[in-house]
Order: sequence, then structure tokens, then C-alpha cells
Amino acid sequence: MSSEIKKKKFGYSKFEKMNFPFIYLMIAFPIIQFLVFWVYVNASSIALSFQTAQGEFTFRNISAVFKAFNTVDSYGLNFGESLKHSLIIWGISHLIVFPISIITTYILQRQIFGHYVWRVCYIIPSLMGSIIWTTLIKYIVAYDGPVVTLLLQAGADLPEMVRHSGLLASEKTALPTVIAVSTIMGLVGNSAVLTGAFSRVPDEIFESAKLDGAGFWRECFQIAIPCVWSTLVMMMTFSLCSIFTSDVNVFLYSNGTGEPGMTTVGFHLYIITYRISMSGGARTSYGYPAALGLVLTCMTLPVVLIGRWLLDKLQDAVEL
Amino acid sequence: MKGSFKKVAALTLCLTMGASTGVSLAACTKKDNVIVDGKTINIRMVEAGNGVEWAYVLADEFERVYANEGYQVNILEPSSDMSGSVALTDMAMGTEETGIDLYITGGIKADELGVDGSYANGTALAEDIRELVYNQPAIGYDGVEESVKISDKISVEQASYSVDSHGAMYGFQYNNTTGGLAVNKKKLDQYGLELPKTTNELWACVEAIKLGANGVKGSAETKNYPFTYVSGSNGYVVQALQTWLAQYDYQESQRFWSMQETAADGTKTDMLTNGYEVFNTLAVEEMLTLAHQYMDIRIATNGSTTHSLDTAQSHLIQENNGYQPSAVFMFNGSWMYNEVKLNFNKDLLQNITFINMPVISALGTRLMGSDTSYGLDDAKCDEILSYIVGMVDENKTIAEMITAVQSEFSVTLSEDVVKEIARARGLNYTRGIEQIAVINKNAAAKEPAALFLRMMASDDFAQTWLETANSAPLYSKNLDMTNVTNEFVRAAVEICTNDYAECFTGPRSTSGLRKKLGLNSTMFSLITHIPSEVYKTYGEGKNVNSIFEEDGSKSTSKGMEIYRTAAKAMQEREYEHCMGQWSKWLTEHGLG
Amino acid sequence: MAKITFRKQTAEVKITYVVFLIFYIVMAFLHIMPLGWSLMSSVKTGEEFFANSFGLPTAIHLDNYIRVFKEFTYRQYNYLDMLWNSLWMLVVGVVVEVLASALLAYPLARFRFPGRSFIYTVVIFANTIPIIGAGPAKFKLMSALGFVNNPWLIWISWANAFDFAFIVFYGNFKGISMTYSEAAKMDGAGNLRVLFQIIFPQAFPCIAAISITSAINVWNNYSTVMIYMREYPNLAYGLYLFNTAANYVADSKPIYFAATIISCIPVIVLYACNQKLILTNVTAGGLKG
Repeated sequence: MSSEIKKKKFGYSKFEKMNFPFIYLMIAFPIIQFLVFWVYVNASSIALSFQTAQGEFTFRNISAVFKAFNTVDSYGLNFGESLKHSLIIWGISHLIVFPISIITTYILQRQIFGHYVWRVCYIIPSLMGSIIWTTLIKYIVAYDGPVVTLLLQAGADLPEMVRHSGLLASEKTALPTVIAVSTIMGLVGNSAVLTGAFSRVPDEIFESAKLDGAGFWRECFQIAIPCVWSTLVMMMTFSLCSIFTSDVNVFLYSNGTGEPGMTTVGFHLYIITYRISMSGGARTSYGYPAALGLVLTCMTLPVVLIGRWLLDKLQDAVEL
Repeated sequence: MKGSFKKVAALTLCLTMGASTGVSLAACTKKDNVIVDGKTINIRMVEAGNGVEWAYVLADEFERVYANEGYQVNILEPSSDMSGSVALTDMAMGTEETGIDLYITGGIKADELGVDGSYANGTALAEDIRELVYNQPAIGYDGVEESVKISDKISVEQASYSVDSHGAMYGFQYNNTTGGLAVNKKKLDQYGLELPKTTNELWACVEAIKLGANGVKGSAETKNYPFTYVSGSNGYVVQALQTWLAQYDYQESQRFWSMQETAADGTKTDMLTNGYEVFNTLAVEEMLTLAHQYMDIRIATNGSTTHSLDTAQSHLIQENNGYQPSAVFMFNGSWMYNEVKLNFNKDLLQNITFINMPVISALGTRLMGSDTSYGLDDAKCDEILSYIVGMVDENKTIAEMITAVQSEFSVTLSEDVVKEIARARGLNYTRGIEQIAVINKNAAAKEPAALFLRMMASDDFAQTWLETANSAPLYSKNLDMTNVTNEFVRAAVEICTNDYAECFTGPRSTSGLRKKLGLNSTMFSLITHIPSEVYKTYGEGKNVNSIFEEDGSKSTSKGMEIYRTAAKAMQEREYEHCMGQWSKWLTEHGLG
Repeated sequence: MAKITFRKQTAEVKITYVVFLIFYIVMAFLHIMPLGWSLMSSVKTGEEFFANSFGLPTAIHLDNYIRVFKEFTYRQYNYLDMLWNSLWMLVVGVVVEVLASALLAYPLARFRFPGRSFIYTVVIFANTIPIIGAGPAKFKLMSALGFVNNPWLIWISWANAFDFAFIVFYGNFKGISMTYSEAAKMDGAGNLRVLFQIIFPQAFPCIAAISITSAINVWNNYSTVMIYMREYPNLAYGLYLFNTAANYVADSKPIYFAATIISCIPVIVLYACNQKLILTNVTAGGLKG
């Protein structure tokens, strides 16, 4: 590259330089906030993984995490079980429910009868918030609620614990119930991002496709979805980041205990922070929870990077 | 160019994070407001169920008494976290670093503070208080020494929890608590029932409440149930089981929970090396039978296995209105009043009382039953057992009890039998015994701290403790209960200060050994597993409610058979599992 | 997107249409049923609720809604305290989050300056690199800085600019023609004036959409309040406390449901009135980072 072009590309005009004070003043606070609450916090978390409470260097915390994979840790939780549950939840919600929700979002966007009303209905759980929603669900799946009543009338062989205390009381039914609720909520498209992406697909494309004789499903899979593919890739990338931290409000469903058999990694991490906060954080041992986070990050990173690489390859293949 | 730019950005981000990591690693700890002058006692204390008010009252009295010497008390901000390993790590930093003279904490085994402790690095973390405190007399609020030594005011058993393997004493105990049964007396009275003294009497109460009695209908209609439970790893239930096992056979209970065999000379060997068959004893069978019986969810409020502690307690405390779930009994502890006083009005709390764990009826059968020289039937055994328990509660002497039984039942019991029953009743499962005050090693204000502890052992402080911490004091039994207006606190204190009260606690070493062996029966999961076992035993397809309501009659014999059968099945299964785990461990370590 | 008309389709598509319509109706019922049941329970007496929790009320007790303000308490906090906390957290939380993201996105989208691409790349990295489990470390920092239970400082931790809102604003600001700002500058407007009087009005639908979604999240947020602002419970956290606390009066359940209705009606109405605004303005293309 010639020095002239280089100068044009990288130099700043006098006019541009006049804006620098304004620009840097504007971005100062967000940058400092980021440096403190993201960079420092995450770095501190990494550092704490290798520290004893006295501040000495140690690998003890990391080895405690690996031990906790198949036993109960110092917080009384089985990390291996939590990991297994999280993977199941992620698998169901992102490999089964998400593809279905793409189709349901698409059909809603095609303005099926009553689409406006359905959309408002589907967003209601998110608007109500987790606290209210989970409390209501707890009543609905209680021993005297409509779900257990209907199941018994249909002749289902429910554990006695369920008949006495509801679907969330038995190890066999608690986690499946919670997964079922989140599946029902996820099946219908209420993602604002995806809806917005579909709304930007031009009508002309469908008209010309129709002229070419494309049927309904062909419009869906060969026109609409490729048009929003970049958005889907972005959503799938974000979903990869949550592969080990999928949470379905276990804390609320289980009154903060994770029982019976409902713990997830997200719950595990939250309950640790919650207990630390309840204790006031005074001179507590942050090493183990920090090491837990570090190990999880190291597990997630390769998955995310490989996943992103695969998705980028797919994106290139699909892009118009 | 774009690719290399991305690399630069990534590298810079990583470097920034690395630098921040370095800064964090080097970050100095926050210094607290300590005053290190040799005359100010810097105290770090745990904020637990007994609150902290008592410490400030004591501090004021101490400063008043020692005003001439210039001694002061500086209580740093109490924290609910300042116990167990957190306190140990703080102590391990040393008084030169922290400036702390005294820790009021808990959840620490005696050996952890001594030279063998994992945080200790060969030097004890605390001062040995035998000569500093225990062998000294207590000091009253008037500054005058009492006439007896502190070591004479506490039982040997209680004090032993503070003594490490080398005989040194590092922890000064200050709390006296017990597990037991919280009872809503107002609801119990409606059924015409007395407070139960044995497990058979407790079961009679359960039946009466469940099926109806004294004109009051059964649980299905009243929504009033015998029990309410807390979900999760239910410590309250486990303390009940520990107590019942200890009542039946104290030695056996120590073996079971510690998984250690104690030889006559006091040395302990764990079951890894001697293959002790922890699950294969009659005592454990009896305890498991009771566990199956009382953890039957049909005698508990619906949803018991999902309740939070607050919810379960509300079922006990709230009045029964016919539509909201309600309960009469709850396994709880003498500290319960402190847990609930904020949430409920005083009128409701006056309905609640506290009783010591009903004595396991199988003990009566073991001591006086058909297999013994007394040859009594089970009902008679239980009647006599209950009678003796009542006298124990009234602090009668052994001789008086023998005489009374002879007079009432025409049975002359041996001293050993009566003593064993008295001991069973007096056994108080306690966690309070683990709450200790510790003088930091080489503390600058060591002498004032020792005086502070000696004041904590005084009769004057016992009264303060009683009235501010709502708990039984450890060093005095002569208490003025005038200002103790709450029935629950009064009852709890009377239990803990009974002449026959003997503290015991579940050995904490179990969890490490259990983890090592990968045992799945930690006993904490009983409440969720037992119900399914009972139903498996009863048989597929039958109406399991018929244990109580078969043909409309109160059929308990069938129920007992089912509970015992399920308990035995669990016992056998756990025994097999244990033995399997042990031999696997031995093989892995080349010992088997 | 082109509307699908039922009549003009093949038989196969018509069947699919009907099947999906039934599916949507069932799903709508399942989604709305808990709210409907909550509404129904809120007008019952306590006795009626326990006697028949899923039956219709025999009489409508609207006084439960009045009783919320008197009897919905947890320890020293009452409903009005929690409502006030919710409101100030809402206003402050939305303003700082939107402002922080917008004020970072604006220079990056509209100006050239040293470090611009670097900062943008960092944002993308921060959003796509999953760093997990920093909760305890964050709590440690917040404690040390005195942010915990401190309403005067807690907003600083909420002003996170490096999030999804930034990406939305960035795309939006980039899409606004430079002509507007250049014309304004030629007329003598300063940078701040251009930002607030030219750009923000142009980007108003996007800002409004982000504000509304942020408002909904803040209103329903309990997890961070539970950890960092426990002494200032908002409605969401208060509902959790009230439901788990032992502070029962005999018929507290209908009051609880009345409180839930009061707390969620505003957000439902807010969303319903602005649904189109949100759906068309919350957009993000692919992340080229």
C-alpha cells in the first residue's frame, strides 16, 4: 500500500480530531465501568481460583472442583449431577425446541389467524416474571392441581410422593416437570429478535417464489429461513455460551434447595453466590466457586469456538 | 489486516485481564478497625441463632468491672459467616496479621485448633485455656470470683468436645441446646392428648390426630396433620434419628455415625480397617423402623417434602382453620424460638412448647421385656418407661424412681435399668456444644480475654444469656425464670438444665469417611426415599392409605409390620452396599 | 412478511394451517391459564381458595386488592415500600442502561477515532466469550466498593454498555444518514445538540423498544435484588418473600394473588401497547467479530 493511501486510510482530519474530546468523554464512563465490572471481576475470579483464603497460591480449589464431579461438594451439591441436568436441558431446548420455535415464529409472522393475540399470550410468562410464573406453576402441578388430577383420571401410575405432594416432590417427576414447562414456553415463537428478523424479509421474495411455483414449506425452508440465517447463527452462537449454564428457574421451583434431583449448573452457581451474599461475604472462601467458574469456562470455550466455526461454515453455505 | 487486528484486540484483552489478575492476586486484605494495645479485646463473632445482643451486654459489664485496669471490648461487625473453615482461615493468618484476640464462633472440632489441625501447620491456632479459664473460678458482674471452678460447673462429657487428642483445651463452650419436638399444645389439647414421653405414646398421638379423637375429625377433614417437615437434606429429622439410636444404645450410636470403633483404652479405629458392620445391628433396625414410621408422608402436611423451613414452621404455629395445612408436631430444636420470633406474633408463639425427644419404646422392651428377667409385655414396658421418664423430667433421684415403680407397678427394677432409662431421657442432641469462644494464639489481649471468658461462665452471665439469647446457659442451673415469659423457651431451658441432661452430638468425621467410601446412604435422604420403600413393601396396587383407614378402623398392627419390613429391607440393602464399598476400597488400596 | 391466506392454499397446506391454529390456541390457553387462575384466586376468600383452589369463585372479593396495601408485608417492608423500590429501580435502571449503551454506541457508529474498531471488537468478544461463574468475585468487589444495599451507588453496576442493547443501538445509529448530522453541524449545532436533538429523535423507536424490554426485565428482576439489594426489596423479590415467609394470616393466599395481578398488569399493558414497536426495532444482524 502506498504511503498516500495509507495516510488517507489511517489519518484523521482536523475536523475529526475536533470531535475527539467529546468522543472520549462520552465513552469514558462505559469503558471504565466495563473495565471494573467485567475485566477486573473476571480476572479477579480467575485469580481467586488459585488462591487460598489467606491469599497463597494453590491448586487446591481446582482439584476440589474435579473431585466434586462425582461426589457432593462443600455446598452439599453434586456438581456432576448438575452438569448432567444442564446438558439435558440445553439439548432439549436448543436442539429440539429451538428449531420448532423457528417454524412457529415463521408461521406467526405469516399472520395466521389471531397472530397478534397469540403473540401477546405467549409473551405473558416473560412479562409476569419468573417469580410469579413459577409460583403459579407450583400450584398447578401440586397434588391437588389440575395436572395431577387429570393424570390420575387418565390412569397414570404416579409415585405416591406425587399424589401426596405434587409433581415437584418426587425425584422421578420434578426435573421432567420443570423441563416440560420450559419446553411449552419455548415451543411457540416469542423471540423478539427472530420475529424482527422475519419481519424484514421482503414480500417480493415470496411473491416471486410463488410465481416460480414454490409451496408453503418450500417458502419456509428455502426462502424465509435462509433470509434470517445470520440472525439464527447469532442466536445459536449465544445459545452455545449457555451450554453449561442452562437454568430453568430451579431455584424458585425448589425453594432454593435444588431438590429433589433438580440441580443445574446455573442453579449451582447462583446458590453459591446467594449463600455468600447471605453470609455478608466476610472473609469467606471464594476459591472453590471461582475455580468452578473457571473450569466451566474452560469447558465451554472450545465448544463455543468449534460451534462458531461450524456455524460460520454453515452460514457461508447458506448465504444468498 | 482484519484478521491480524482481531488478534491484536484479543491479545490486548487477554493482557488487560492478566494484569488485572495480577493486581487481584496482589490485592491486600481490608484491615478492620482493630485496636491492638494489650488492653482492648478485639472480638470477631458469628451472628447465629442466639443473636449478638448478649455479647454487648457482657461487654458493658466487663468494661464496668475492669474500668480501673482500662480493659475495653471491641466487637467487630458480627457476621453469619464467621464459623467453621472461615474462622479457621482467619485464625491461621495469625493475630499479628488480623489483630484479633477472641473468636466467638462454632462448627470447629477440637483437633482443628490444635497442633494436628489442617490449618495449623504444626502450631496450635489458639491458646490452651485449661489454666487460663477452665481451672479458674468464674467472675461475676460484681468482679468477685465464684466459689467453684468453671470445670466443676460443666459435665465431663460436655467439656470433652473441646479437648483435642493431646488433652489440650482450646474452645470455651457457651451454648446449651438440644434437638427435640416442637409441639403446638393448643392443637394437641383439642384431641384430649398429653405430651408424649415415649415413641409409642407419640404414635398414639399421631393416630388420634390422623383419624380423629375427642370429637375432632381426622386430618382429611380438618387439614390438621400430626407432623410437618422441611424439604431438602433435613437436619432436624436426622437429629431425631440420632437421638433415638443413642437412646437405644449409646455406644452403638457413636459407632454408627462416626463409623469408628472405640477401644477400651479410648483409641479409635475406623471401619475401613476393621470392617465393622455398621448397618448390621438391632439398634439400627429399631432406629430405621422408627424412621420409616415417622417419615411416612401420610402423617405429614401435604407438600411436606417441598416445604421451606418458614412454611413448615408456619404449619406448626398457625392456628388450624380447617382449610389451611396445619400440624401439631415438628422435629426442631431448642433454638426454634429465635428462628420464629420475628415472623409470628407473641400470642401464637405462646401456644408452642418444646419437649425432649420421646424415648424409644423399644428400649423399654429391651430392658424389661419378655426376653429379660422381668418378663413384661410390651404395653407394660412402655407404661413403666413412660412413668420413669416423667420422674426423670421432675429430677427425681434413681432411688426415688425405683421406689415409685415398685409402689405403682409392683416391679422392682435394678439401678442399672433405671439409670439407663434416665440417661436415655437426658440425652440431648446438641449442636450448641460446638459453639465455642477461642483465644487467638499469642493474642495481645490474652489476659483480658481470659477474664472475659471467665465472666461468660458466671451465674450472672447465665441470666443474661437466658434473657437475651433465649437459650439455656451452660454453666448454671439455678436460674431466675421470672422474666422468661415464653412457654417454649422455658420448656427448652428446663430440658437442658435437667439433672440428667447429657449432651451428645453427631461426630462430624462421618462425612469424610462416607465420601471416601462413596456411600449413598447418608441418612439425609431418608425422608424422600422411605415413603417409596413403604409402598413397595406394602405391595403393588393396594391402597396404601389403608394402613390407617382399613375398613374404617384404626389398624396399626398392619402398619407396624409394614414399617418394620421396609426398615429391614433398607437395612439389608445398605449393609450389602456398605460391605461392597468397603471391600472395593480395600482392594483399590491393596489391603483386601 | 406476506400474509398466508387460507382460501388460496392447497388442501395439504389448509390442513397444516388448521393444525397449527389449534396448536397456537392450545398454547395460548396454556400460557394464559396461570394468569387467569391467578386473577380468579385473587377475588376469593382464603377459605374458598383452600377448599377449591381451581374452582370458580362463588363471590367476587375485590377488597383483596385493597388489603394488599395493608396486609402484604414481610417483616418491616410493606407493599408500598416494595412498589417504591420497584419504581425507582425501574427508572434508574432503564435510564442508566439505555444511556450507557446508547452513549457508547453513538460515537462508535458515527465517528472515526483511534480505538473505535478495537472497542467494537471488545464488545463482540465480551458478548460471545462465555466467562462463567464470576458471581462470587463480583459480590466480593461490590461488597468492597460498598455497593451492596446502597441505592446511591448500585446504579453504577447497572450501567453496562457492553451488552446486547449496544449491538442494537449500533446498528440503528449506523443506519441513520450522516446528512442529518452534517447539516445540523453546518448550522452550528454542537455534538451534544446533534445527539439529543437530531439522532435520538430519529432513533426514538429503537430507544423506546430497548427501554421497554429493559423495563420489563428490571421490573421482574429478583435475582440481583436478592443478592445485592436485599434491604430494598422490589415487588418481584417481595412476592418471593411473602410467598415463602411464615407471615401467614389465614387468608393470605388471595392477597398474594391480588399482589401478583397488580404487579404484572402494568408490564402486560405496556408490552401489548408497544408490541409492534418492540418487534420491529429490536433487531440485530449477524455478529461479524
